[in-house]
This record gives sequence, structure tokens and C-alpha cells, in this order.
Amino acid sequence: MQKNRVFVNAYESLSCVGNTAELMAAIYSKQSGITIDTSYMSEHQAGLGSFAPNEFFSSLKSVTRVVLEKSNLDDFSNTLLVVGSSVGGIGKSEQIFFKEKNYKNINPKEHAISVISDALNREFGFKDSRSISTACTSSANALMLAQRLINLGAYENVVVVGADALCYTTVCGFQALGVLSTQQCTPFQEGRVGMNVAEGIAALLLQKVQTDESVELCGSAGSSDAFHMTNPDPEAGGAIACMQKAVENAGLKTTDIDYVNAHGTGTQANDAVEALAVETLFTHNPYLSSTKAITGHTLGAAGALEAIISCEVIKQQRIAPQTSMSKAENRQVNLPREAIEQQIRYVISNSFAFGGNNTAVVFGAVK
Amino acid sequence: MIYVHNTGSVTRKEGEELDVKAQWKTISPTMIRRTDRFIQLALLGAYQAIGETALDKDTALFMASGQGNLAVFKRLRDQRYIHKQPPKPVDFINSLSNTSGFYVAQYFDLHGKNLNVSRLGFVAEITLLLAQNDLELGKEDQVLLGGVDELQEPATFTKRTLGISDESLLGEGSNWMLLSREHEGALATIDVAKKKMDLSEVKAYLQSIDPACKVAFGFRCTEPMIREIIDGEERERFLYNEACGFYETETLYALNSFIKEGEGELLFINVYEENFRVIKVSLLPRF
Repeated sequence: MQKNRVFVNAYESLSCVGNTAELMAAIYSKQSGITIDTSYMSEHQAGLGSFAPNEFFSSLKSVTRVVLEKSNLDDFSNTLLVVGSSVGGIGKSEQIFFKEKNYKNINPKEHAISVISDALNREFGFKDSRSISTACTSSANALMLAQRLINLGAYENVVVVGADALCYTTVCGFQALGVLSTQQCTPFQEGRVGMNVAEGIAALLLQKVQTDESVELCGSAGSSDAFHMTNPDPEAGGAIACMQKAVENAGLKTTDIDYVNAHGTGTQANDAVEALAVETLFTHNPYLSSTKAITGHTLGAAGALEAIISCEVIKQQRIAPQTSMSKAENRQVNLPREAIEQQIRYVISNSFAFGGNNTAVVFGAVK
Repeated sequence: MIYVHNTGSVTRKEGEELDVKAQWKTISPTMIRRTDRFIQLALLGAYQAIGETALDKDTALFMASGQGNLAVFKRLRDQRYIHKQPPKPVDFINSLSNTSGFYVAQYFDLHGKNLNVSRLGFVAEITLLLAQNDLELGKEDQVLLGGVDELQEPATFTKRTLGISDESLLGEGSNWMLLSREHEGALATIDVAKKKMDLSEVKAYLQSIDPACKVAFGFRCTEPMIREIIDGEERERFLYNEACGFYETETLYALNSFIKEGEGELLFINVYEENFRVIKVSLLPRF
């Protein structure tokens, strides 16, 4: 079967450092948006990434509208919406419950993951919508799904939105697991202490048609560790398999990859296994960095947000530096301390989730 | 063309008993710790479909749910406001959408793509469509696909918010099927229409297919709506509904029931917010 190529033609994001232009400026100048917060847990401080308390849904519409304005489309009536989110409307349900101290007025339609696609459908009238929820790989899986649908010819235009708001359940849940850092996280650093939970919104328009602004979504793949609910396979089998399959899906060799945009949460388990996977698979030692010290971990939005970062790295031909790292735990991987300008043809972006749910997406400069 | 190789269902209606934990414990006494009822329901349904058969490790796992694990959300809120405690780690982990998928993947030793699809309305249809796309594209050779929804009470509140009548019984279920590109040994073929339809389109579609093809309707289809669609046709209905209360993924129960008990072909029609989706199942000769 002849596959349609897939192009990323417009995008916008909002994270704790601002919009996409501000995000890239923060990444290259290594200015973190993480703040130290005690509003969720008065007895504990936590490094969190927040942008606009109580304005999440209006921000969601604004970000999506920017994508429409940047696109070659008049509207989204012939466009599929694919949302990746892990939180959905839980924040709304929490607000109702915390105010009323009971469940009576919690509405399942406002609680579900699909509350995000419902809100965007009402605003923009998409042709149809899907919602994927696989924790921290949600929007990476949404990108993979969008790629398949365009490959197949089922749709010519797909908007992928990754969106997760901060809420009590996630902040306190990660604290209960003992993986939340009280300071800015330090991915790949020796002796790192944990992650920063953050909120984020990222929207990308994927199309069959190529434009002057296009970056190609060349390949994607997923795998499952089936090893442990919270710990990755220490031999990195699942992470290696998904990156390998994504490179193959793109029709590339591992040596074609110039930069690995890491999942790199700052937790002991994730970063050790991810570095091992990159070291094992990419023997030509491409640059590797995580941008989560800047944005925090935006959970279900991370795959889409880091897809945008990957596209910008290709457009600017500039590798994102590894912020907040003085001494790397794994000396075999190539962690750049500063931004590096070089020819960048292909970038692979990783997303890994609890349950050993792994997804990798490959982006390339358009030939 | 995609093929259904195995099916398995666990279901109950409002008022019936289903001790999921006890049933799962007889199958896997070791995989009880840290799992809650929703996860056990997922495991039990998948086991009905697969049993002890060893699947190819690359088999993808797609799981659908209308509401997800709502019970764990309640537990997390209770921990905060009634017990004045932080979330229990096990409940936080079980609140993640992909937790059930992880346990199913771990039990059956599946290392392929693992997706969880969640939405109200057509969640089973959309998940089947995703699997169909991947199989047709050759991205996957085999997909273990399931739909899991747990009954939440009080039922009157749930019925109101889900938009179904007070007379309809709610239910819960875990319904699974093994889908493949491989024809040999298959029980049935399945074809999910890629596009949503309006009422006139679904009527035209029904009139265009073999009169011997049976028809079944989702719970959201009202009797006046069904009469309008059938429009005087003498078409036999497959009445799976009597054994099954309403839940978002009941579509999979209907399909599994037909594959198990039916004959010939079935067109399953479902509605959500005035849009229709249809799935055609054709049983293959059994040896």
C-alpha cells in the first residue's frame, strides 16, 4: 500500500515558560519556568510548572486558535481532532468536590478525558475526535495515531492536542510515590532526586500536504515493557524496541538520528534506563537532552510539547542543551551543556509512561 | 479485511452479583495484590478470550472505556477529605488510564503497542476502527482489543448523566476479542465503517446490504429511532440486550454474543448525539 507522507505544518504551545517562541528562547538560554510551590501540599514544597491557574480551558482554545490562524485552513470542519491527556476533566471534578464535599454534582461528561475534545469541538466544530489516555505517553500516542490515519488516507488534516492541567491528584499522587522534587529537576544528573509536575498545552496540525513551513513526521512506534507498573525494565528492552521500531517505521537507520529529545523526567529509574537505551541503540553517539528542567513534566501533554520542541530544533538547526546538569550519571551518552548549531536531519522524541508504555516519534527536515 | 479469532466476555446487569476478585483469584492468585476491581474486571474478560494461550509477544493491546476507573477517583477524594490523608500510592497508580492495560500486557506477556482509548459515545467503535486501521496498514499483525466499564451507583444519577432512560438497566462488562490479519482459524470478519452517518445515511446503508443480514442496536437507540431506521423492512433483530445492561462498551458484548451464538451476518448500529456508526460482522464457517 502506498503511504501518504505526514507533515507538521503549524503548531503552538503553552507551558510554564510561555508560548512556543518563549519556550525555545528559555530552552536555549537555560531559563527554567519551574517555581517552588506549597499550595497543593502545605506540609511539602514541590517544584511545579504552572502557567495560569483556573484558565486552562480558555488557554486550550487560544492555543488551538493560533494553530488555525497559522494554518492553510479556513476552519477545522474537515479536520480530525486527536487529544492526548492523562488528567482530562479531573481538575473540574476536584473543584466541585472540594467546594461541595460530595459527589452529587460531579458530571461524568465533565470528568472524562474527552472533556478536552468536547470543549474544542464546541469551539471549532472538528469533523470528529478521538481521545487517547496512556498517562505520560498520551499525546505521543495521539501523534502516532494521527500519522497512521494520514498514512492510510482516512484524513488529510489532523490536529493533535496534548493537554494536561495541574491538579491535586497528580501533584499529591507523585508526591505519594516519592518521585517529586522539591527543586528544579536535574535530568541525567548523578544523584538526581525526582521530577517536576507541570501543566502544558501543545497543538500541532498534521497534514498530507507539504508547505514551506513543513517538518516531516517520518515515523513512530510503541512498545510495552510488561515488566512492572512503576519501574521500567532495567535492561531497557521496551525503550530500545520502541525507538528501533520508530526508526524503522521512518525508513531510516539508527545512524541517521542527529538528536534524541529525551523523556528525561529527572527520576532515578527513568533517566538511567533511557540513557542505557540510547547508549545501546545509537552507537554513533548522537546528542541527547531533556527539556523537562525548563518545562517540568507536562504528563499527557509532554509528547506533543516535545514534538514541537523537536520541530523547532530541526527548523533552527540548533540542539537543545541539557539544563541543570553538572555531573552526568551515564558518561557514555552525549549530553550537550550548551546549545549546539549543526546540521540536523532527523530527531527522535521519546515518551515513556508508567506501566512500561513506550512511544517514540521521528521528525525530519523536509527533503 | 480483519479477522476475529477469539472472544471473551464478562458482563452483569444492575441487581446481579459478580464477584470479580474471587473469580480472578482462582485464575491468578498472585496477581491480586495492588489491583482493584476495575483492573480485575479487565483481566478476567481478557482471560475469557485468551485463556492460557501464548500470544505473539508483538501483539498490540487496545483497551477502551467509557468512564474509566471512576471508583478509584472516589477513593482518592475520600482519602483527601474524609481521611485527611495524601493519596495512597497504589490508588494513584490505579487511577492512571493505562494501568489496566499494563496488567493485561504483563499477564499475557505482550510487548507491543499498548493504547487506552477513553470517551463517552462510540468508544468501542472508535477503538475497533483504530485497530482496523493498524491491521489494514500492516502496522500490526494482531491486536488484543477490549472494552471495560464498571457499574457505578447510584444508577439513577449515572443514567441521567449518560443520557439513557430510567427504564434501561445499567450494567458493567469486560469484553475482549483477538483481531488479526490472518484468515486461517478465524471465527468471523469485522468491518467498522470509517465515517459517521446521519439517519438517512444509515437507512440507506441498511437497505443496501443483504436482507438476511441481522441487525442489532445500541442502548442509546430508542424504539422510535429503530422503527425509523428499519422503515418497514422484515429484517431479523439480534436481541443481545436482554442479557446485558447499558455501559459504554456494550457494543463489544453485542459483537461477542453474535460471534458466539449467532449465524450469518450482523450489522450493529449505534448512536450518539444524533450521529450513527455501524459495524458489520460476518461469521465464517466453523470446523
